[in-house]
Amino acid sequence: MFDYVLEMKSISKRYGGIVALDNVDFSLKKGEVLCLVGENGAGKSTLMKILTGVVKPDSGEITLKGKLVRIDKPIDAYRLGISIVHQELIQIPDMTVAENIFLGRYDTIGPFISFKSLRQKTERLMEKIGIYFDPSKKMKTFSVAQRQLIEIVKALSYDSSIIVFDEPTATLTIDETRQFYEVVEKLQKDGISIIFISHRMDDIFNIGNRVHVLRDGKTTGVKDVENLNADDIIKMMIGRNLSQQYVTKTNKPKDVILELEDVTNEKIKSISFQVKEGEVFGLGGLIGSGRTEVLKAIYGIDSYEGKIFFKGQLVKNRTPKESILSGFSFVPEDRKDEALILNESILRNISINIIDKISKCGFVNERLENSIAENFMKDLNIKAPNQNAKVYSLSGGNQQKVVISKSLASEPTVILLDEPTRGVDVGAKAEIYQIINELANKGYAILMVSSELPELISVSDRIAVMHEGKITGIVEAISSTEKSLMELAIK
Amino acid sequence: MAGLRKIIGKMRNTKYWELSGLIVLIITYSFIIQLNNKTFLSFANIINILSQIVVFGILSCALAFPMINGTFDLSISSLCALGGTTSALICTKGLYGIKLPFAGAIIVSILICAMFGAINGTIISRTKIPPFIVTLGMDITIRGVVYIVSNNSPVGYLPPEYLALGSSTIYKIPISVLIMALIFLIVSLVLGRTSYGRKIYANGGNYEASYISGVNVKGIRFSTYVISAVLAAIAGILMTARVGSATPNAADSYATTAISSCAMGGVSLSGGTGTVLGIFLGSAMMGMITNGMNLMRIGSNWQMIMKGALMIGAVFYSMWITNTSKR
Repeated sequence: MFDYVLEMKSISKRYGGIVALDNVDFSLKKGEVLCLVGENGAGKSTLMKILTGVVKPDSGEITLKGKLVRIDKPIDAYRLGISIVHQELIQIPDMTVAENIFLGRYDTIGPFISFKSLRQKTERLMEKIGIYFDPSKKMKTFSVAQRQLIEIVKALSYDSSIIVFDEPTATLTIDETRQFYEVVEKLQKDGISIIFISHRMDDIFNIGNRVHVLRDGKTTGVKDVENLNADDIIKMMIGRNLSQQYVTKTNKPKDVILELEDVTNEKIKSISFQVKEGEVFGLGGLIGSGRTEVLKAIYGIDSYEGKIFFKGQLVKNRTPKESILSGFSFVPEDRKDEALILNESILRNISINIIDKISKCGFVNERLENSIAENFMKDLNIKAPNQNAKVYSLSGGNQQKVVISKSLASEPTVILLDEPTRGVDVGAKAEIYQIINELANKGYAILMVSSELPELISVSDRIAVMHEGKITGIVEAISSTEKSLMELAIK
Repeated sequence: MAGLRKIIGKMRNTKYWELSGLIVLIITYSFIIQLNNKTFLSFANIINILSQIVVFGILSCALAFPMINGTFDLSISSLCALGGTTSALICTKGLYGIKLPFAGAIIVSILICAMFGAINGTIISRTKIPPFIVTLGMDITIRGVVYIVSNNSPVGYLPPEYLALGSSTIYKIPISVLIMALIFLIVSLVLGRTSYGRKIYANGGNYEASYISGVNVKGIRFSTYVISAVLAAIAGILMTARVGSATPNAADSYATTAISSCAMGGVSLSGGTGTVLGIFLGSAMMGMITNGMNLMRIGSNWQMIMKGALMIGAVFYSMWITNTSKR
């Protein structure tokens, strides 16, 4: 019994008509790293929100070390020794490391804060996991990876025996991830039990002891990692095999429709390439190599020198509006900031690109608007109660489908995609690949920026790899491997 | 019980759910006052209330455009005074030599205010200076202009057409109330049904995303300030008509009342939300507080406390409602 330091029994939670968790049992062994895995919308974050006191379950109970506990608010969780390191770090950039860690719990001498004791306490905690950062430096001077480690120190300062990590390696480099794994191992040695929410197979197989898979609010599998491979896990997550994830390409590229000649601006140098109708043209390279900037130049967000030919004619789109009118559309990298109006409905988000087209004498043709949205919701399988549902309530995958619908509404000829499956769960990813394939089939010219090499290789026809603003090579996708692309990316 | 849940669930999805609190408040308030003084809900008194909210009701409409667009316009109160004063001057003593009959005076004064609105719009859409600061500065500046042109004294002896605007009625309903109703109706159509209105909401909801979606964000932002100036001018003209003269310090406190009405009506300070019906109900509530409390012989100081408390309560309620529907 006491092997399990945490047991959550029969946890259920619904939001209105949507069941987030359906009678889920979840248990954590002392000193283990348990990977909590599942698509977006599977219920992982809800389960953790319940554990950390952010949300109250409709039913179910939680026992810690055999004793029944109530976690009604976050401070209850902290006091019971449960803390969470969020994906979006909640830190105050202008305060120092020590001030952030002990926020609200400052030692005082009389009415004055004892900075010396804060510093000492912080340094002692850092020693525990073998890291060191100057406690008197401001938080904003550190990188994301470093701030994440500092957040772990904060968890330790609460004497936590259970730490939840929410997608911690999503934004880390390979070296930073390795350092992170080492810290996690140290925590384990100290007897701390860890729940690791992650999509990434690397995380699961490198440090996970067990895996707990959720799908649609239910548990589909709880297994030891050593008995599993990636396919097993994916199958538990989506009920399909890994090999079915990518779609066999059926498109046939035709004539050149877009040509860039020596396009140059601050971030990109002498970019030249051609894209054909019905082709998926991939843009690969490391983050910061200028891929997004190429798309932004084509779409009229950034200015440039050089020539762009569209359907044989010289064009210069100066604003997004001009681009949309001439037949381009753009699916930006950061949909929450750059594409979606979160507190508006699906309907109004889809129609905004074409709002003038569907209006007569200034008045919006609401019937047309509704039917356009309905069609997109059906064709792209957007899961929502109806088109008036607000976009903030949708999962990442469905939000992305709304953005894609938006970009298709203007009936473009060229579609620019920037990381189209970022933050999208496995099931919706497969659907989006299908959509891209169908669009290419229909003759759209598609440019796709992607940082996921397997995705780039299986979805594109040809790939241009960029490095520091220049194109280092344009290759056929069929004959490329992850290694060959990576070599071009770091040339 | 499940049936009730279903009904509430369906009602939640309409955009008017957030106004439920305000509606309940208005009904409850009317009930309480009516019990105390039977004349509260009489035709004559309702007309009375509507007359009292004409000026700041139209000012709330004026404010709605920049606010829903995500910015702010603090200069509406002095624009209101400017509209009233210049129109009064042009058809009486003359404004720096410009003397026109009533109709011409109206048009010219609206144009003058529109010009100031355009200055607001240009600065705000083309620079990064916070709209709060720009319009605050303009408010003080324009107030100075009002004092200068009126020579620090009220403008009286208005022509009969002007006074008629303030006092004549059609089937016992004052023309000014009808004009206010018409303005609310037009604004509601523009914001709710036109592509222009959509763009205003989009801009306020997410400026960056709207730009990338092809909306002319700068132009829209500019236009909201011209519209708010024009509507403020109209409010000023009606105010002068009703009072019978134009005083340079007029409409001093109306900006805050307009902001309260908008806030109560669901217009968030960050933009992208709010309905014209809500703004109307918010203005009505403000008017009912003054009127109702007068009938109950409660002094104006208590009325201010009431108004302030109600505004905080109403905004809190609408935020709570949106949050619970988010969960």
